[in-house]
Amino acid sequence: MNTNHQIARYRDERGQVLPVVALLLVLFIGMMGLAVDVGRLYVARAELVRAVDAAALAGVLESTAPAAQTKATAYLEENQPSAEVTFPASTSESFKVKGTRSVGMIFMKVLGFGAVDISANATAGFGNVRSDTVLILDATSSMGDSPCNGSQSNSGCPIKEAKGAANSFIDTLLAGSTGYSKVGFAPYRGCYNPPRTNNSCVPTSMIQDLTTSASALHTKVDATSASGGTGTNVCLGLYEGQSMFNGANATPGATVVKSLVILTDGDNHYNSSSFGQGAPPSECRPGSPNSSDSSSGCSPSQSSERTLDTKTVALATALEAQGVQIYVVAFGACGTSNSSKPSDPGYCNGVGNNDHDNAADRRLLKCIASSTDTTNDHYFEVPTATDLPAVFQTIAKQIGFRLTE
Amino acid sequence: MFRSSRPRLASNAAVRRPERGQALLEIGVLLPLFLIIVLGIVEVTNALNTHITVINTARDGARMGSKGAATDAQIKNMVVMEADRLRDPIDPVADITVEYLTVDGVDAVAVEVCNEHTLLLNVPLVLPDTLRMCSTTTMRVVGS
Repeated sequence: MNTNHQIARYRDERGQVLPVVALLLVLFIGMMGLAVDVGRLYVARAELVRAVDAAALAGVLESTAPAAQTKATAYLEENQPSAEVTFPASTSESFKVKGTRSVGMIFMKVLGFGAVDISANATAGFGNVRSDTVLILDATSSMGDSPCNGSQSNSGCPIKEAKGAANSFIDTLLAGSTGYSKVGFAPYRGCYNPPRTNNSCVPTSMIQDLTTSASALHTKVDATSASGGTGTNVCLGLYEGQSMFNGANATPGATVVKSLVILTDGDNHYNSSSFGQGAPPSECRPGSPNSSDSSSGCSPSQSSERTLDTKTVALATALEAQGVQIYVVAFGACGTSNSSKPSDPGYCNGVGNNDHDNAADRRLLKCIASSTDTTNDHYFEVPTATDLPAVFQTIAKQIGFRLTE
Repeated sequence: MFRSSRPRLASNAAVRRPERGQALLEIGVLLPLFLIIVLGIVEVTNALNTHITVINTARDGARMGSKGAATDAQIKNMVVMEADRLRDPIDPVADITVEYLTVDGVDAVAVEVCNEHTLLLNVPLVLPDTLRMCSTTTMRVVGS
């Protein structure tokens, strides 16, 4: 009996090892599978998150919902081709993107999980980032010429379209910001009154320092009119903007997003009548008071204008150095459009040095824009006045919109 | 008494020894297997962690580029600092490329980040010493 008991006990022990081992093996392989598959899910989610981020950013800059969705889809595919995109209801101040993707499992198939669906959301819109934006508008006579048909309030007239675009630009930036954004407004010609006592100079009734009040800005925009006789001094416009960034109303702090948007329908024309009392500051005044440049279009310029071009670039560089991003809207610039970029070797060094050829206007305007290396992303060419509102909307969104979730 | 004790000895010797050997053999085979599985989990998880870090730094690099103001050097510097937690440092020249392109008609920036990930286990001829992981994020250049 004793023997039988002992044998039976040993048999029991032998029977215990195999099931335990088998169970442990399944458990361990299961653990490895879980680690691998869950890890792969995390990787897939990280990839999906960055893809919807890119999609939301790309889409929010568009002014219409279909265009936004087209851009968002393109950027989602660029980053994650196997993801599906849907668009949850968006508000006028934000744009939502949802990406979903099915990830095939390797080990968890055994447990019945053939594929796991993952999703990620992104919202782009106005974040609570403080921003100062100065809008500088060309108010020279050419903005009130054809096709205005005698009245600057006629539809299609450049100054009318520009004022409309400025007003909606202000609304877009201030409406969504809940007090975080300030906008300043100033037109430019060849001089300001004061300091220069001349009715053709830009009066203070058209200028609004940085403010959060949209209505105060609208009053000044509506009061703006196009008038000639003092020349076109792009540099002076930048100078007025700089004085706002340095002024008492500017938002203090290093994290403020500072932007200057300047609309111009031509290059610098220096009018000698701007010399004397209340003349532009030396930063924006050519050396010789006698040389005048009243020519328009692409006709060859005089040395005064080339000097002014050089000074304009110098002032733009100074503005960028103090953290201001400059956006340039070139409306009906003379010459033919070309693909030259500020990063092309020697391109910006040509400002002011060469003859005033067909490309000079664009060269100057591209070089004062704060475009990223090898792009013209802060430079916008607008051939007709009626396109101005759309371009200003795009810029307002570039300044104001960012990822919020 | 005599008769009964002999078979017990015999049975002890005959039955017990092979059983003990079998258990030892099982442990001898299974322990390394378990060890490989455990180490495999650690190895795979560590590699996936590196991969996720590479993806996230590429995303943040592209986001920085999409703001429009950063130079290539600034983007690369940010990526290198952010990937600081990785065991293998990211080389700004060989491992990061910043490229500006056009996607769907608008300016975009593509940032590719790679990492030469050193495996924890050093098993010559079976496992490679390092694994190169790359990730590219493309974002629209939006300014501000």
